[in-house]
Amino acid sequence: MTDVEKTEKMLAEFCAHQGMLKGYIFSAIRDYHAAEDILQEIAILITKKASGFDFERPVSPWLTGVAKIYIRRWFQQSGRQPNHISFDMLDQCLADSEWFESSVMSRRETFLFDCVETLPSQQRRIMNLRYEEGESCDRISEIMNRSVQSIYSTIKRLKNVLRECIDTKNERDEK
Amino acid sequence: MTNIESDYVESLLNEYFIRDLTNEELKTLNSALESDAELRQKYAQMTRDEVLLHSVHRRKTDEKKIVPSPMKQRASWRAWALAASIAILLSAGSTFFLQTQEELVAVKPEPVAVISDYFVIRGDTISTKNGNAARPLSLGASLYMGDEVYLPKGSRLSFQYIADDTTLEIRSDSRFKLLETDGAKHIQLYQGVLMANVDKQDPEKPMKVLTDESEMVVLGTEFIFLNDSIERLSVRSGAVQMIERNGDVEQTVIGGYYAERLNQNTQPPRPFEEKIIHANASRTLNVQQLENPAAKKHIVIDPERNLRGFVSFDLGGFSDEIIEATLRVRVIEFYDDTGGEGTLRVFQGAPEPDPLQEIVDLSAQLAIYTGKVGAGMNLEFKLDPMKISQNMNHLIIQLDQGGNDFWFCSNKGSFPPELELKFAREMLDKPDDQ
Repeated sequence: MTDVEKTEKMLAEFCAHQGMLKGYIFSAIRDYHAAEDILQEIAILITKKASGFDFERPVSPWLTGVAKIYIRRWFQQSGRQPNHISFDMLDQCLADSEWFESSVMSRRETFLFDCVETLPSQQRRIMNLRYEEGESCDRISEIMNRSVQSIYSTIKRLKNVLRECIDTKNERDEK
Repeated sequence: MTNIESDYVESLLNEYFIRDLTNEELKTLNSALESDAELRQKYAQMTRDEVLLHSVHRRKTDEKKIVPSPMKQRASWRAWALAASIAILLSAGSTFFLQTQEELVAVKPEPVAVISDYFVIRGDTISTKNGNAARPLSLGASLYMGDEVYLPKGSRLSFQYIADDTTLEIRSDSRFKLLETDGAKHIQLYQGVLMANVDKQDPEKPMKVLTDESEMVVLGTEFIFLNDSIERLSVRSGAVQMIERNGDVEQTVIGGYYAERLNQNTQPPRPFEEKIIHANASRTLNVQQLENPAAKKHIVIDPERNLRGFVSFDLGGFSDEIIEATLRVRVIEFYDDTGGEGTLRVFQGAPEPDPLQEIVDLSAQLAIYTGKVGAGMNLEFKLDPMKISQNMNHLIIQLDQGGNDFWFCSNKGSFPPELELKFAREMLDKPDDQ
């Protein structure tokens, strides 16, 4: 295999594992924008390393191994304490999960986009504050003049509502 | 796993993406995930949905940013002239903007420390004030020179200096200010408890902890400083110089020694040791009224149901002079109960307390605490060391009427009640530099 072929193969593997990797990184650092930045850095790194990679080995553990290094570095550079589910557990939960297949992800994302629009305005505002503006629940509680506990409960409930909405659309679409 | 435990784990799983779980909560979640394959599947799905939620909202933001295309029409010379003049203005504006930005960058303060541990009960925040500006703090947030921080009751904060590995832990109900003089770290401690692990400092620029009455000069050490009705400096390792602000007394306290300042008198340093004793028994008194059998693992304090807590510690004929005694109990979450609030009192009880017997001897009160404490946090009572028995200590904890019930971990749970003793040792050989 030539170097170019190896790079192409590595990029194809990266694309296939992209959803899982994003989930893995996000799950550890819980900062979506930083997770996207790390994912980009990994993409650049693997194209450089592809020529030396032995494709007899499985790619997924290597990718999550690289992700772990970047996650640790992120915690170090941002001065935050790593307070995430253990790497062993992330490996067990996410590394080979079918939940992150790109076709599944893109289908659900399309449905979710519509489902969010159906939420009542107050609830949509809470979700926007959390996911669009990246506000903490403490801050949202101040803005909405509600207790933090009620914001936690609302977000949890809305996530369930949205999950059900996606599943309903998915079932309808499959019929 | 019982239904209660399963509900608890489920709620941790749900909250993992919306708040910082405590170390203990993370430990619980990790072990639950390890033993439950179904839970691991659920976690994977939740992670995927969380990523999608961010992605969808990101798309919405991007769509809002899209600028509508300009009308496709041939620009007249007037339009070109207008465009050219706007371009010139924009160019001038950009230069001005850049200059302003550079000036702003030049005066923007650099962070001096980063918050490495943060705990606050739900609904509370730890805020800092710097000049006229106030801002809430969170894990990973930066601290700047001049920041004055107050920690409400039930909270805890640790931060690490960026310049070196010096870390400070500030306990609940403390107030401090970050200062700097010619590159030396200074902390003004107005009230409360500060625990420091100080990296090696430049001898020309030692770190200082300042109070109204004294000044502690630190070159690299581990110590605890209490600024309450008395000032007590306990040095675990290294050495700290304690200097009276309005007097001539200046003494060096080395590791393993403590020095006090009481009634404006500074006492000479004495050796000390610390010891933690776990409760040998604990339970809820008046337990027959307690309906939930799961509560056997807990100590429940609820004035409405006349539930009080009983904890006993065996000191086994302890003969040293106790200078500090801290009763530490862990507040735990139970269903919707995420903490308690009110005035808690600790009394010296009888060896086998009668559950129906009322406490009438108020002189036996050892400690009192008023405030809120959230689940996952330790509640600490500073007990009167003079009232601690050298053998068995049977303590009764009760909550005043009107308080919101507390659930504590019993000696059967993962975080049994502790009695932390700091005691003075006999001075055998006086160190040369004391």
